[in-house]
Amino acid sequence: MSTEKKIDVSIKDFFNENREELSLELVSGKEGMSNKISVVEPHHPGLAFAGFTDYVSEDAVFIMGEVENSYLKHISPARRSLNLNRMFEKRFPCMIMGNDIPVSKILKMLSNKYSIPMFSSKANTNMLFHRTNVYLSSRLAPSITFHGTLVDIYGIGVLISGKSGIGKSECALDLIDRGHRLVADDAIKIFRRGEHILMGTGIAPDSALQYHMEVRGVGILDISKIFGIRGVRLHKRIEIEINLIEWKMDTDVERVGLKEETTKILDVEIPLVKIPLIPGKNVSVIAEVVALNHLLKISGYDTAKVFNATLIKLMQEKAKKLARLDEDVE
Amino acid sequence: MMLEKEITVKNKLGIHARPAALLVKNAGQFQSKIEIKRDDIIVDGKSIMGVMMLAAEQGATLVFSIDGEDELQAMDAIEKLFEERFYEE
Repeated sequence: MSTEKKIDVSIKDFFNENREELSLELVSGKEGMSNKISVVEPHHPGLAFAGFTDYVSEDAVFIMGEVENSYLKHISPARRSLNLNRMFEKRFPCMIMGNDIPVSKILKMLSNKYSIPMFSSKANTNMLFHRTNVYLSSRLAPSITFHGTLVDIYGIGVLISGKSGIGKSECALDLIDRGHRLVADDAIKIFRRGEHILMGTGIAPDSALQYHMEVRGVGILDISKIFGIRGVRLHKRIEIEINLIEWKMDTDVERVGLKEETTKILDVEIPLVKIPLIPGKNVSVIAEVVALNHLLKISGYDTAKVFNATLIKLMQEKAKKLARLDEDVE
Repeated sequence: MMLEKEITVKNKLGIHARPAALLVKNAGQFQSKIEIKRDDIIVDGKSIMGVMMLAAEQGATLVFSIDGEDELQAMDAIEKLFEERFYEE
């Protein structure tokens, strides 16, 4: 698994990709188009305008509107200049003026001086906040590449992991043959959406290279050509990991299913099922059953727990009966 | 030679899933064939479903038949589990 790297978006990309939707226009500070945004939530500069710059987010998009603009007009020119200078010294990446409000001279001047692009937009600030947030959450989502195979089994995204050559691809091939869908093989790009959702796709999604698979002894296969569109899918939420392991005498595996092992990917916890490989064992059927049992569990029925509770109740009734018989001796 | 021994279930909840898992895990570490008999039912001591199906409550008596090279060690290990109440209480 590769490590998580810090991600950012340049103002140039931000501008180009949102220009139409947010009706953005560059007003000044074009020297700063290579500045980077690395924080998802846009920043309200209200308090900074008032002179309090302690918690100014230096990597976030600044969005101002009617309220902030009126406030700037309301304070004395000396104070305005002092506070704004202090704020611009923080070198935040860019600022957007909403509601189609004309950008004042002092803002233009400072934006040029500090190379901080100043945009104006016809959209209102609520809209600007929302759209910027949505765009940045997807652009700044933490991601990793993972060695394994991702298959959609009955709608559950199952990540198959294990050592090289253990049979991940072969297992996936069997699953596709049984009607399930391949998302990616060998190298999977996993990114986190929000706090709890893991999404997986190929490392080159949308390219002609996705859906290829190497099967030892055969070579490279194009799954989408062999099985058609029904055998593949572009991306899928990952809900469970199946780890294929070599079976040895002392391999410790779960026998009942009461204890649920988990694994963490990008800080998201998902169930982990370890399956020891024994010659002649049909792993794909097991993978199917793991997916179905997971479905059952999230629908509220945990077989292992229910079975155990039934068993304990049965034994307690028996023990009670025995105790009564013991006391019955005359 | 084959070892045979009666063992009584001591832990309060009986052989439910957790003790059963512990039992088969221990049994699985030995080469010997391990069978558990209760009344007229005989199950494989290395199969968890079999062991749980015995529904052996507290006070139940099980007959262990162990056959193989490491039968002595296996019997010791199993007896210890019952003695220790499967580390539950």
